[in-house]
Amino acid sequence: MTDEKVMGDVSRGDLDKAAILFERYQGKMFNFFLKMTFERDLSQDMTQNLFLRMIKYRTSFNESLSFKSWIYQIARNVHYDHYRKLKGKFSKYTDLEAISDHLAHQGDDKEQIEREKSLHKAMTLLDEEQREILILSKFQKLKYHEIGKILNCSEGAVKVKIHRAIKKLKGLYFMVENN
Amino acid sequence: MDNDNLKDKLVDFIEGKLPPQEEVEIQHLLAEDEELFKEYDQLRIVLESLENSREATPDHSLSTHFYEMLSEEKTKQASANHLGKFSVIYNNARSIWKNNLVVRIAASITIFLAGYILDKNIQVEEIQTTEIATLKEELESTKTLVMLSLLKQESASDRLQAVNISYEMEEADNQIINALIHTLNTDQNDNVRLAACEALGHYTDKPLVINALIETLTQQQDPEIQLVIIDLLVKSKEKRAIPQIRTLLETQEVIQTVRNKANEGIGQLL
Repeated sequence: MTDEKVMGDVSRGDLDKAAILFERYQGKMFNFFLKMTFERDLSQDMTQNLFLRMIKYRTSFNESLSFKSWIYQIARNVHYDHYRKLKGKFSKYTDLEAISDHLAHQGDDKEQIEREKSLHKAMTLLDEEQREILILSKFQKLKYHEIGKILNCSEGAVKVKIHRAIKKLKGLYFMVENN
Repeated sequence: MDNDNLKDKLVDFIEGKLPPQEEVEIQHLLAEDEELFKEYDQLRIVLESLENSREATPDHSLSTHFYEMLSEEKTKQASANHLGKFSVIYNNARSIWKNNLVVRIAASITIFLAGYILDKNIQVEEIQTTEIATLKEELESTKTLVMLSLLKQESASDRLQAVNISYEMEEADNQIINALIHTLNTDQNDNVRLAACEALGHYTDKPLVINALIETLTQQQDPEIQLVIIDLLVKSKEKRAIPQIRTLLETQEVIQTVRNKANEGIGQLL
């Protein structure tokens, strides 16, 4: 059963089906927020808020459009609204070290763990727009056309933005590594 | 190819997205140009790090809160349906009352409906309590359906989620237990099998689970799973497991850590 069909049923009042979408997307959405904020509790709250909005605004879902684009658009709004309320304050990435340590698998060699830490640190130094597009593309594994729908731009523009973000990230990554 | 264009192509080259002809061209350039090779190597490291970056797992509380919120929404939806019926009756009564030509009839109908409405209000709380119980039951059965359907998915992460749902069940019935046993015995992914094994660990009070764990011990190849099963059987003080643990010890491929655990387990069970 496609996401669109399931969400269509939810929007018509079959709320039980929301559980299917929650099980399919909770991990992805939690990791989206986690890589955006590097704050674990906050990411958990944002994920909770996202699914609350999904149910609250269920009737606004258009079954002929992609569920994935719709849910990521809500996720971006949840993230944006959180920081708008804080009037310009941005994440302090309080759990950056802890999350990097947690993600570093016990069996990994030291070099791999250090690379993951440098990557996370470099990600926090990117501007938000570039960090977001890399998260969508490289961590969430979305295709260019899917990202284009979420960010409301063409597939070509997405590709250019991703390439720029990768180059910027490369510079920051080796800056972090050399410090 | 100018320099900027070339650097753009490097990303596509690393990701294997270039047509064969351009790929060969880049390979030649990389062999000749040391600076370009350095650029390529750095990009490769960053792209590999992005590719290999792992995902974190949310706490179980996320799931608990979601299902509570869903249950509340369903209660609200059910109440809204009742209020809808109430207002239809009320509006009908009002329109009849306003019709002066049939005042007497309207009065009697209104009185009758008022009585009905009062009775309804008294019953609302009772209805809601019953509804909440029914909704809880429905939610449990939805979770079962979701779990069983996710277990059949091709993606290992979907199947892993299915196993995790079993933790949220108030009481796992035989259908759930059998699905977990089937997963432990047949799933192709080590992580999914291990998760199923750990999930079954919550139900070792059920003979069905203990029997399945004893039976599967010698069939499992993954040392982590072997360790979890031995641990569960020892904690359950299950003496019937001793012959199977001994058989496992006779298997050549079994690693030393598992052998130690198995010998220690037999010692505790004897």
